[in-house]
Amino acid sequence: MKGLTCLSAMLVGSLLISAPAIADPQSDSDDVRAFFQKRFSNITLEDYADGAYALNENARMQWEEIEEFPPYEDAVDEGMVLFETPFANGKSYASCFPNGGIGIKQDYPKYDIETQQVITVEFAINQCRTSNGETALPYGQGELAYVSAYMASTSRENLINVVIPDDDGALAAYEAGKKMFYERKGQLNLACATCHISIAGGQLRAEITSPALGHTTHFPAFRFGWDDIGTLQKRYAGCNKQVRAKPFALQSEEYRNLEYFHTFMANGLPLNGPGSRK
Amino acid sequence: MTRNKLQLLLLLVASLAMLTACIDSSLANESTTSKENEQALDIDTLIEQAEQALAEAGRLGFEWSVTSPLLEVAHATYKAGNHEQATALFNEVRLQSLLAIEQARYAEENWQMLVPVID
Repeated sequence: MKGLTCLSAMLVGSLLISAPAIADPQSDSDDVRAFFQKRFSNITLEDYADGAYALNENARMQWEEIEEFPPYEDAVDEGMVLFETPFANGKSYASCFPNGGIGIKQDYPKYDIETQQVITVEFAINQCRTSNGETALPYGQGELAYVSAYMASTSRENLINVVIPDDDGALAAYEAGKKMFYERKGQLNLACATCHISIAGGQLRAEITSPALGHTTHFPAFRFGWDDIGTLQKRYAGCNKQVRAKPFALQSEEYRNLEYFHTFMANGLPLNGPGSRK
Repeated sequence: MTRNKLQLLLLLVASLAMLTACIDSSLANESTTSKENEQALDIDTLIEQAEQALAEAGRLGFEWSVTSPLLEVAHATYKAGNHEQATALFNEVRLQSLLAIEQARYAEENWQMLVPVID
């Protein structure tokens, strides 16, 4: 009897140690918000949509001045033209999205249970093209980013609403994205979370490290370093390079899962893309 | 007679000296060739090990961005005939890749450590 009790205890103990953490996205989101609320008690949840500019008055004033003549305006105009130009078969982007693609970006990324994968807006744009006989556009910048920027502009002020369906595949994708966010990579041995959770609000050289919460609200973004509009995943690749990790391909499963987790954290924040960033 | 004997002795010594020098030189050449072969074998194994480790780091999704370019430099250096420097570079590729693999293993077990803890 004593042996059986001991065996049971060992079994329970080993399960406790080895069982993978069960994904609880809402609880994760609550914890991240509670963490930031404690660290930056003087800013509201909505303020996180402004990234690092929510944390520094001087930087914010400069950014607001820039936004008076937004550097992404031409890209949005070009995106609108591209969006409305019919494909060779007569159809257009509008035929591939709910509500004709207008005011829907806040619902992305989505999880497609049928194909068991995360679908970002940029991924869906290229899916739309190829299903209509067009060639896929390069991810990251250029025409695809312009179309995405236009779609974001039609969704401004809509609250981010990423849904994680009750599906093992969806939860696994979310969990994979979460893991990627927290694991250290590259020769500098840094995780996304190192800069954007642990030392968020601190400084790296002259830059304020932005909080992870709200990162995804303003992409595609015009970054002065790029001198162009670029997608969120282009930024992921840039971050990876900065820590000397080999980046994944844009719209790879890894980055789409990361975007899924990352955007879920921003649920309820107003979408304010495209934005401008240093 | 004594003079002839002396000449003969000198000739003998000179011949011995030449013979020794030839043998030494021959042995030295043999030794160099052997070392080169040994080095060539070592560097081939090293290249294989470095490339395998790099591929494994990549498969795990933890390859460092600086490692592949370093491998290219190592190959170019080897082709240029600078085997000593190439060996050092291939060693560095191997080391970086092994560290990346270790980083992946560590991440697998400890990634939760950066998840914010709410007091």
